[in-house]
Amino acid sequence: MNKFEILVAGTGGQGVILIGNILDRAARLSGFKNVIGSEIHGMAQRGGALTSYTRMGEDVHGPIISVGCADVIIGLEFIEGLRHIERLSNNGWMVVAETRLPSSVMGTDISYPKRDEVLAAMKQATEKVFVLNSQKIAHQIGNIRVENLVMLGATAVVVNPFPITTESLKEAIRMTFPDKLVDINIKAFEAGREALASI
Amino acid sequence: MSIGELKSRLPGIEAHVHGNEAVARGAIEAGVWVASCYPGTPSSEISDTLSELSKYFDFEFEYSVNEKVAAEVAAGVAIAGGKSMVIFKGAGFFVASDVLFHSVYSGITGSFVIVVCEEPGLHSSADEVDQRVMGRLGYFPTFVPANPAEAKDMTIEAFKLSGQIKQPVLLRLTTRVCLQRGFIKLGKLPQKEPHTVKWDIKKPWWQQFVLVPETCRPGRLRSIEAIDRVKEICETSKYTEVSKVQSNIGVLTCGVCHGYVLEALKLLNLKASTFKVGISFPLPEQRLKGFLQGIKQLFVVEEGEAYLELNVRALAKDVNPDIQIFGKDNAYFPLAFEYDTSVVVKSMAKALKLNSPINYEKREAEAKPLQKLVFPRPPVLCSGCPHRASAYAAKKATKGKAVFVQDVGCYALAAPPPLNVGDIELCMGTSTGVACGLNYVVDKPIVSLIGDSTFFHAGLPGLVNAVYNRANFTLLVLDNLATGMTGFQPNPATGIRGGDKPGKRVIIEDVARGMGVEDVKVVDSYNIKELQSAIKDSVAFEGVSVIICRRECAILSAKENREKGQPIIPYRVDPNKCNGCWLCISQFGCPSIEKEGEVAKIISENCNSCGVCPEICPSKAIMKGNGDE
Repeated sequence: MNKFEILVAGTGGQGVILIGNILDRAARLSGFKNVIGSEIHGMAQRGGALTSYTRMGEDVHGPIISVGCADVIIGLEFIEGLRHIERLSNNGWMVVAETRLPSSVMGTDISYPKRDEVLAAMKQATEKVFVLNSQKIAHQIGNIRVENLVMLGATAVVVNPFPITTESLKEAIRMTFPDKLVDINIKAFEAGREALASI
Repeated sequence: MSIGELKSRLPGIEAHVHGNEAVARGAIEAGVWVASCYPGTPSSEISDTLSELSKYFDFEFEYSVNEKVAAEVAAGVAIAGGKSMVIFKGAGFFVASDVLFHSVYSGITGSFVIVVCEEPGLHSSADEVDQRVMGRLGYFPTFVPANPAEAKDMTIEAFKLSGQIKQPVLLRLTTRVCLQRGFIKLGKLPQKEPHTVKWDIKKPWWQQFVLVPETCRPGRLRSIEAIDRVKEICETSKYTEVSKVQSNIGVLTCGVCHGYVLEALKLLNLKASTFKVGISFPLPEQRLKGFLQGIKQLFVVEEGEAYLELNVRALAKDVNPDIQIFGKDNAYFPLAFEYDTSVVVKSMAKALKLNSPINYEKREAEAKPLQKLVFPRPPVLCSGCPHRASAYAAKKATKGKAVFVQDVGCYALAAPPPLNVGDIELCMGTSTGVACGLNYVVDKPIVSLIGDSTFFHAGLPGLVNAVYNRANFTLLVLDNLATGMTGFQPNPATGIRGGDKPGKRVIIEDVARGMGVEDVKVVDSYNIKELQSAIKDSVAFEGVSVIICRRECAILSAKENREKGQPIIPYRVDPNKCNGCWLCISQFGCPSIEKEGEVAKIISENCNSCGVCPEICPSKAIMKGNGDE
């Protein structure tokens, strides 16, 4: 099958759909004829989980990433990638943010699972797990909202081979944001690349 | 995402859009005069895009008070001779069905396109009714696009067809088409034409458009003739895509499932002829009959009902009685929920005894134990949401000993724990209508909750019914000045119209009084003590009471404050005063309060500063400010 599939997971407000849109455009700019994106937002604004799919390649015709088919899962939140791990292909890539966001079910009894346990579960599914403190990097850049672009940059450098070119990704970023926000988002993308380039 | 591209007047440009935006652009390219809607997922972005585009193009757009009125607006335009479109979600079709079914009997003189977006998989709807069946039931020619490009082209085609046959035409999308992203080529914009009809007063309009039995009999015959004409058009339509190859295997499909079929065939390395239906009613029967020749095994791949399957089973009896058909009827394909490539691969592999290239079941079984750590993220009322305060007050005022009838909107999120304010909610308007019924039989006080937009949508008739029939219940109208759940569209309570134009604000308390409600109060939702005492009084009142709980949506007010550069000063817990009773977490359920050791802690970056938690804290341990002052 000639295809490449990227699943972006996170919670409402993290910019999941935005990253999906950039991936779609960049894939197209990289020369893919068939690019299909898909998103479900439902009630994500009220704290729910959400995903975006970007699929590219000549054998891609539908919008959904099936079980066992994602080449890459990007988790903008630490545990959200694990929520969709059944969709990861054998030995696919997981690029995950350290960012841990609590859920409304965490009242007085339930708390966020231990970091090491979550990491171990991800590593059982695939050897290729990369975790990045994107929040810290975004803070250093000076805008916490660009955390998602840090993760995109990290993904583009760590996933190898990555079918979308860096130039297309940057061009897609330029096309997506209003002029005044382009520079900081490009900066975040570059910072994400640098953070994981040495791995 | 791409209003900039959608606004473009240069044909040939490639735009990155999802299906909903493609429909909006299609309507512009078709030269729509008036578009009306009631917002609802997964259709909302069609409306919101048109609302925005109405600022740049020459057409009228309105958020109507409900789908029935929206359909009437569109029918009015089309009867007079204009080009109209109405947009809603699947449940909206049910609300509008009275108008829609009858508009087929009247016919139209312009063009009338009905856009309905249904949700296989129930991502954020309360049903997954297959709207293709409605096309058949109501005699609406029905287009079923598979992707954004088709969504735009079929919108234009639907306008053309409607104008040609002088009948309403249905465009049916599913979530995975509405929210599928792709690249479309923008087409030419229409020549400017006056959007005014010179009403001919000498024309005997009533003979066709006043629906009484005498006029409906010819209307019925006209609708049958119209469908006969569409049958001919269907046979040669470019939207019927047939790919015939050397194989005994065939696949019949429509909409988004076509993509899954192509992928499944490739994965299974299977050669099969495919027949993709683009117009699901009426079906191109002659072409389909021809397709069935020489096919021994036919797969029917469709979400929803066994609609194509039952039709093809009937057709096959004449032309190919020995054909083996695999579908829902013989349980090869599931009836419920949405499909994807894996569903098709599994069903085909099972029927043909092939090995699936991917062991989906194994992958899922392996993932399950790893996912035990994953906690649910149910949607919740936001930090500072006025509905939380209103629901909490309702629970306290009735000591939890009331029947709570809910309605459709964010406030229904008060039904699950910890608030537990919500026992019944079926559809728009439940809170007033169902309360009238409960009133006859239950032995507890009834407290109903309805939002501002839903109040105008379907709450009014139930409220009049309650007044007239002397029901006894208390209705809380949770007026947050927005249609929050579907993306903050305006409604009569806000006084803003589509395209951000000024409208006339309709005052809910005036409406309630005008309807004959004797006990009407207006309270600030954040003033929880006053609200509790108001609810107590109203529950004690014999008859219908209405309390308008008014406070702007917390998301909107936070956004406004950000724009104004006004800082939100969060609240904080004094750890020396907090005694760890957890009322703020386990009963009030604010998502900005968490447990830190033995005391509660407010997550200051999430706090929207509503000021309700200090009111409810029994130890008076919560105060404003970060403690630095």
